[in-house]
Amino acid sequence: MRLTSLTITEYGCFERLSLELDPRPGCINLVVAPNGAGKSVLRQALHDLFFGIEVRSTMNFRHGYPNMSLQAGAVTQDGTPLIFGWTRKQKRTYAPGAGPDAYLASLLDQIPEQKARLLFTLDTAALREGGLELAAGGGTVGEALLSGSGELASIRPLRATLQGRADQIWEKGKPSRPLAAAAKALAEARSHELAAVLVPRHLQAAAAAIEEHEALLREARARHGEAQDRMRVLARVERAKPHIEALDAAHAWLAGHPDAPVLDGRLGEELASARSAVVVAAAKLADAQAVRDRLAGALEAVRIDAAALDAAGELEGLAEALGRTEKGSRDASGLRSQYQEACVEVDALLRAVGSRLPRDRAAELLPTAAAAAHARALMQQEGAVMAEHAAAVRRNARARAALELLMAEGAQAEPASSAVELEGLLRVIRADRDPLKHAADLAEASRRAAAAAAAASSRVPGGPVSRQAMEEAPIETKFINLRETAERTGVAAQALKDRLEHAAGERASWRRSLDQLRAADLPDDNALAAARSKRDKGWGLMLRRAFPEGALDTGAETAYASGEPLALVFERDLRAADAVADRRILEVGEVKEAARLSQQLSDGTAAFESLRRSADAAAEAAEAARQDWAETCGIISLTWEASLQDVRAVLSLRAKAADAVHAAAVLESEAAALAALHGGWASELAGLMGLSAAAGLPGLLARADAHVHAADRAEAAATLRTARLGSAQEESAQAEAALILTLGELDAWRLNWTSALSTLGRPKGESGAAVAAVLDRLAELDSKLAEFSSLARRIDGINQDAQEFETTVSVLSTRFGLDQPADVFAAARSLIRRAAAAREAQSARQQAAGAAAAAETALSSAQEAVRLADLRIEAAVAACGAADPDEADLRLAASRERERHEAIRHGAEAGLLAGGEGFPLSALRAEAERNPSSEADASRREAEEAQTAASAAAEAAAVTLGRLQDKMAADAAATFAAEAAQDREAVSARFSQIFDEFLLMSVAAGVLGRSIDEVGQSADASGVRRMSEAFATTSGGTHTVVGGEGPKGETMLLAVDGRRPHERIAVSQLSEGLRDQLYLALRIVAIGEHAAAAPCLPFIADDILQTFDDDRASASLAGLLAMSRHAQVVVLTHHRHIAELASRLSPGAFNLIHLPDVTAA
Amino acid sequence: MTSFTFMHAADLHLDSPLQGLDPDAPVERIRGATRLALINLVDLALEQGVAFVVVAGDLYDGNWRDWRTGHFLVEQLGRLKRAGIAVIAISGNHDAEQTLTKQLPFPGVMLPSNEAATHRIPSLKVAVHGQSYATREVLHNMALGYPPPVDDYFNIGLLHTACGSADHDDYAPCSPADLKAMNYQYWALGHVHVRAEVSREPWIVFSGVLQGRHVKEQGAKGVTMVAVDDGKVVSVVHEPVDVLRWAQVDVDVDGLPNPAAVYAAASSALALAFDAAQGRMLAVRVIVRGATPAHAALLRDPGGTREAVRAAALEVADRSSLWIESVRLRTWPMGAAAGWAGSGAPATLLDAMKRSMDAPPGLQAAVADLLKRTGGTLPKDHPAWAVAEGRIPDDLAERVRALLLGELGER
Repeated sequence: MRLTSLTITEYGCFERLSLELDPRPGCINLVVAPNGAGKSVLRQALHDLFFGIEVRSTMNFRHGYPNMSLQAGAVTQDGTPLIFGWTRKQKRTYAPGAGPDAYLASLLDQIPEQKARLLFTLDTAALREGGLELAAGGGTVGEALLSGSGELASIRPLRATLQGRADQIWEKGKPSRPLAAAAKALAEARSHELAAVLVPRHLQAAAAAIEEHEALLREARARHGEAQDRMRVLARVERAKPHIEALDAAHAWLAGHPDAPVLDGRLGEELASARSAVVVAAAKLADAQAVRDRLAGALEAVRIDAAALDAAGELEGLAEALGRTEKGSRDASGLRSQYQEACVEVDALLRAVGSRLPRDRAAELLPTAAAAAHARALMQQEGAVMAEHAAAVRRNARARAALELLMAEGAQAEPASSAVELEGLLRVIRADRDPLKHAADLAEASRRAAAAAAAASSRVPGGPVSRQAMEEAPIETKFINLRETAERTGVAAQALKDRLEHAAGERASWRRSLDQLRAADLPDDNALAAARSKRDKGWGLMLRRAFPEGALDTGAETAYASGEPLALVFERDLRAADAVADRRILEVGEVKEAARLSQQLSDGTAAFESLRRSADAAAEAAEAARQDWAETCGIISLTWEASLQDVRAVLSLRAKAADAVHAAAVLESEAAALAALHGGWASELAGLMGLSAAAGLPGLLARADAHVHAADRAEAAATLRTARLGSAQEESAQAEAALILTLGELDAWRLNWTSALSTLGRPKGESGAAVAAVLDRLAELDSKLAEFSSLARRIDGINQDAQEFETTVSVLSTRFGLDQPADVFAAARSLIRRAAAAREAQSARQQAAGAAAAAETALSSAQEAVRLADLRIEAAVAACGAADPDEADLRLAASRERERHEAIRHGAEAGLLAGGEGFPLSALRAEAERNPSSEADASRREAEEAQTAASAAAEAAAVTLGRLQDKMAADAAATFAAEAAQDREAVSARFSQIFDEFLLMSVAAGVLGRSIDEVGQSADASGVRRMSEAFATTSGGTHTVVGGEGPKGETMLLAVDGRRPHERIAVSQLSEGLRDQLYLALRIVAIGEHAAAAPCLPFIADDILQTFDDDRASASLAGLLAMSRHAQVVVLTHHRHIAELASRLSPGAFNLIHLPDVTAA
Repeated sequence: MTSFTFMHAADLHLDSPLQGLDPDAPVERIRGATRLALINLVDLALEQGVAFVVVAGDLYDGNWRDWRTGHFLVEQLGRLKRAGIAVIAISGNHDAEQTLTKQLPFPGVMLPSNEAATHRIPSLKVAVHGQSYATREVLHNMALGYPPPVDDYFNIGLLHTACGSADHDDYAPCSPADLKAMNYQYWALGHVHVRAEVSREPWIVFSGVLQGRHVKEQGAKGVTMVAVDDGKVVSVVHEPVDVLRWAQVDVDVDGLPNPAAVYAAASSALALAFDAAQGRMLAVRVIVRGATPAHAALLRDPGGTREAVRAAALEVADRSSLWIESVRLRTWPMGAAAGWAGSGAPATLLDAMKRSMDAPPGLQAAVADLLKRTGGTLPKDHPAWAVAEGRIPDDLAERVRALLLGELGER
C-alpha cells in the first residue's frame, strides 16, 4: 500500500495539516521540518492511521479530543484507490466483504502492529541499537538476517527466557532446584522402599517368641484351672452336707411310723369345704322363703283397666294425629294468604307477556328449555357474526388496494438484466488469486530470476551449461570422478612406490647380512655333506682293505689319497668331518640365520619384482588419470593445483547458474502463458460486456465488477418486488375468502333466528332484545306456577288431616261409651292418658310375677345345696377310711406328717442333685467325709493362694505375649513395603512431571539457538549477495560483505573493504558509522524479502541520517531509493541540506515536503 | 440341574502401586486401592450369595516382599471360606515369581501347575478345569492340555492367557477356536486387563483387572457375575468393585479467547467425567487441545497451567474425589492449524527448526546423568530416555515447536 495524501486534524501540534504524498515506486517522500515542527507527531500519525487512535492518545495536548481525526488516500498494489481514516470516537471493525476495511484487515493480518513497528519504522536510536546488536551478536549470517528485520532483539531475550525457565527447574550444582529436589526425594523413596522389605526371618523369630510365651500362658492357665477345681470341690462339699443330714433324718422318721396312712392331701380340704357349704346353703334357704312370701302379697294388690289396655295401640296413633292436626290448624291461615299473593302474581305475568289465558292454563305458554336455550345462544352469536363480517369487509378492501398499488409499481419498473455468465467468468478469473497481482508478481519474479541467472552465469568460469545439458550428460559428476580417480591413483602409485623403495631397502639389508655370514665361512649343510662324503669314501676304502673280497681298487684309493697313505688321508678326512660337525653344533644359530636370510632374500626378490610391476602399473594409471583430468578440466578453467574443494565450488556455481537459468526460463514461460490467458479473459469479458478488448484486463475487470454489481442490484430489486406482489396477492385472496366465509355465517344465523322465533311463537322479525324480555317473563311465570301449585297441595293436606282426626276421636269416644265430645282435642287427650295408665299397671304386675318365680327357684336351689353338702361330708369321711368325721380328721393329720418327711427327703435328694454337680450320693458322702468341716477353711485358703499364684503367672505371660505381638505388628506396620512402593511411585510421578517441563524449556532454548544458526547456514549465496549489494549501496561503494566459515563451522558475515579486497573484517570490528550503514542495508534486504511474499506498509525513516556525513547520507539515500521499489519510503528530517543532497542525487526521485513551523505560529 | 451364580475375577495384582499420581495427590485414599477393591469383591460375593468364586491368575503383582500382602489375601479369602463360598484359582505369570506364596496356606483350591486338573463341586454339578503357571513365561498353548468336559456337569475353564490380544505378553498363546473346541460352557480368562467378551457361544470372558493402576487402565474395573440355570449361562454381568477410577478427559479449547475460558471448559469437561465415575475417586489425565489465542500463555508456564486446571477440578469436587494426574497441552496458535506460521523471522526460524531437532549436546549428558542417578524409575515412554540418546522424540518436538510458535507469534 502506498499513501497519496494524509490529512491530520486537531492531532498533536497540528490543527489541520494536509500532505500530498508520491506513491510511485522509486520515489522518496522527504519531509523536511525544523525541530519541534511535528515530525514525531507526523510519525505517530502515520502509525495511528493504520492501527487506530488510542482512546487515551497523548496527541490531545493542544486541541483535546473532540475533533481529532486522521484521513488518508492510498492506492493498493494493483492500483485500486482507497480512502480511509479514523476519528478517536470511531471503533473500526474490519468486516469481511468488499471495500477498504476488508483490504486493510487483510493487510494488517499479515503485518501486526508489533511487526510494523519493527520492520517499517526506523529512527536514529533504533538504527544505533541495531548496529550495536549486530556487533554484539555472533556475527553469523542468520543473526544478521534476523537483525535486519528488527526481530533479533526480541528473539534473543526469548531464548534467554526459555533457558532461564529451564535453569529455574534444574541447574547443575544447585540442589534446591525443583528437579534436583525431586530427584533426591525419589532416591530417598527408593531407599525407603528397599528398607521397607520385611525379611521373613524376622517375622519367624518373632513368631517363635510369641509361641514360647503362649506355652507359658497355657501352663499358668492349667495351674489356675487345678486350683479352681479344688475350690469347686470344697464348695460342693459345703453345699451337699446339709442335704445329706436332712435326708438321713427323714429316712429315720419314716422308718419309725410305718402305719401312717398315705391319703390324698385334698381330702382334708374337701371335708372342710363340705362343712362350710352346709352352713351357707342353710342360710340361703331361709332368705328365699322370706322373699317368696313378700312377693305373693304385692301381686295380689295390682288392678288393670282392660278396655284401655286393649285400645292402647290405637290411642297412641291418636296422639300422633293430635299433634299433626294441631300444627296444621296453626299453619293454614299463613298458607292461604301466600296462595292469594301467588294468584295475583301469575295473573300479572300473564298480562305482561300479552296472554289472555286463564291462570290454570298458564303453563301452556311456557317454551321448552331447549327452544329457549337455542334462542338465547343465537342472540349471543348475533353480535360476533355481525362484527366479523364487518371486519372481513374492511380487510378485503385494504388488501385489494395494496395489490393494485404493487401492480402499478411493477408495471413501471424496468426489467432486470442477467449477468450470470459474466459473473461466472469473473469467478473463474479470480478463482485462485488476484490475477493482476499474479501477473505483476510473475513478471517481477521472472525479471529477478533472469537477473539472478545472469549474475550466476557471470560468476561461472567458462559460462554455465544448461540444466538440460547437465541432466543429459552428467559432466559435473565426471569432473569430480575423474579428479577423484586421478588423485586416488596418484596416491596409490605413490604408496606402491614407497613400498617398493622400502622393499628394496629391506632386500639390501638382508643381502648384506647374508654376505657377512657367508664371509665367515659357516659350515652349512653342503660343507657338512661334502666332509662326510669324503670321510665315508675313505671309510669304504679302509673297509675293503680290512675285509678284502676281491682285488683292491687301487685306482679309487689313488684318486682318494692322491698318493698319500690311505689311512693318513682317511684319518684327516675323519677329523675334518668331525670338525665340521663340531662347528655346526657350535655355530648353529648363525647357520640357521644364514639359511633364513637366504630364503627371505629369495622370497623378497619375487615380491619385489611383483611390487615393482604394480608400482609401474599404478604410476601409469595415475599419469593416465591426470592426463584425463587435464584434458577435461580445461572446460572449467582450473589447473591441477586447484584443490578438489575448489573444483566442487566451481561445479556448485555452475549448477546454481544452470538452475537459475532454468528457473528464469520457467518463469518466463509461465509469464507468457499467463499473459496469453489474460488476453483470452480480456476478449471474453469484452465480448460479454459489448466493449473493446483494447481496454485491457484491469480496466475490463473493474467494468465487469461494476456491471455485475448493477445487475445484482437490479435483480435483487426485482426479486423483492415479485416477492412483495406474491405476498399481496396471497393476502388479497385470503381476505376475499374470509369475506365469503363471514357472509355464509351471517345467512346461516338469520335462518336459525327465524326458525327460533317460530318455535317460540313469536312474531316474525321480532328483535332479539324483545324476545329476550319475553323469555325472562316466561321464566319468571314458570317459577311462580310451581310455587302456586305447591301452596295449593299443602292447604289441601291440612284440611284432610283435620277431617280424619275428628272422625277418629268420635269413633273412640263411642267405643269407650262416652258422649260425642264438643272439644275433640280435649277428648283425645283424655283417652290417651287412660291408655297410658293401663299400660303402667300391666307392667307392674308382670314384674311382681317374675320376682315371685325367682324366689321360688332360689328356695329350691338352697334346699338342694344343703343335701349335696351332706353327701360330700359322707364321701370324704369314707375316703379317709374313717367311721365318722372326727376319726377322719385324725387320719388326715398322720398322713400329712408322713408327707412332710417324704418332702424333706425329696428336697435333700434334689439339693444333692443340683449342688452335687452330677456326682452320686455315695461319692458326695465320701467327699464330705474326706473334707471335714473343721479343715474346710484351711483347704479353701490353700486353693485360693494357688489360684492367685497361677493367675499372676498367666497375666505376666499374657502381658509379655501382648508386647511381643504389638512389636510384631509395629514392625510390620513400619515396614509396609506396599505403602513404600506407592510413595515411591508418587515421588516418581512428580519427578517425571518436573523432568518433562525441564526438557521442554531446555530443548526449546537449545533448538531456538541452533535454529538461528541454521537460518544463517541455509542462507544461500544470493542472500549474502543481496546483503552485499545493499551494503555497497549504503556505504557508497566502499564496502561489501561475504559469507565465511566461522570457528564452529557456522556461516559468518564478514565485511570487505574495497581498498583491501583480500582482508575480511568481523562485523564487530566495523566502525559505528559502517555498522549503522550495514544495519540499514540489512533492513533494505529484509523489506525486499517481505515484499516478495506480502504487501508492505510505508517505511518511515525518522531522522536516521542526522549523524552521517554528506557522503554517507547520500549513500543511505541511494539505499532508501532502492528500498522504495518495494515499499513507499517517507523520510523525516530536520536537516535542510539533506534536501539539497537529494536533489543532487536524483532530482526527480524525491517529493520534497516542507512542514510549516508550528512553533513559530 | 440347579440354578446358581458364581463370580469370575482375575488380575487382582494385590499391593501393586498406582502409577502417575504425585505426592500432592490424596495418597491416603490411593494407598491400598487394590486391597480395598479385594474387600469390595469379597463383600459383593457375600451380599450376592454366590455359589463359588473363580480367580484366573495374577493374584499378586510379582515378587511381594512383605508378608502382609500374603496375609491380607488369606484374610479376605478366609472370609469367603468361613461363609462356605469356595474359591478356585490358578496362578498367573506374576504369581509364578512369588516364592513366599507357597509358604502360606491358600483358603481355597489352587489348581496345580504341573498339569491341568479338574475340581468338581458335586452338589452343583460344576467342574472347574485349570492349570497354574509354573514359571513366569509360559509360551505353549496350555488349553490344548486341558481335560475333556465332564458329562452332565457345568464345565468352566480357568486360564491365564493373552488369547491373541496384542497389548499383552503372549503367554499361554491360544485362539478362541482352541477354547471353543473344548466344549466347556464358560471360559474364565485372566491376563488381559481390559474386560472383554471374546465369545458368547460359548462364553469366553476376560473379567479384566480388579482395580485400574494407571491412566492406561481406564473405566470401571471389577468382576463378572455369571448366573447359570439348568446348565446354561443365563446372564453375564460386569460388577465394578474398584475404588479409584482413571480417565482421560479431552478439553476442546478451539477458539477460546483466554486461559480463564480454557479453565472453565476444563471444569465443565471434568464435571461430566466425574459424574460418570459414580462417586468413586477419579484420577484424570487432561488433554487440552485446540487452536486458541491463549496458546502462548498456557505453554509459557506448564506447571502453572497444570495447577490452574487442578483448581478448576476443585470447583467440581474436592481433591480426595477428583485428582488431576497430569495436564498435557496440545494447543497451537490461532491460524497455525491451517498451516500458517507467521511471516518474517518467526516463519524463518520455525522453518529452520525442522533441521535442528536434535538434543543439545550439553543437555544430553546432563539428562543421562540424571537418569543414571534416579535408577531408571521413569516410565519407558518419558522423553528423557530419548534425549539421553541424543534424540528428541516426536511428541516433545511437537510441543517445543508449539511453544516456540506461540512465543514467536506474540513477539
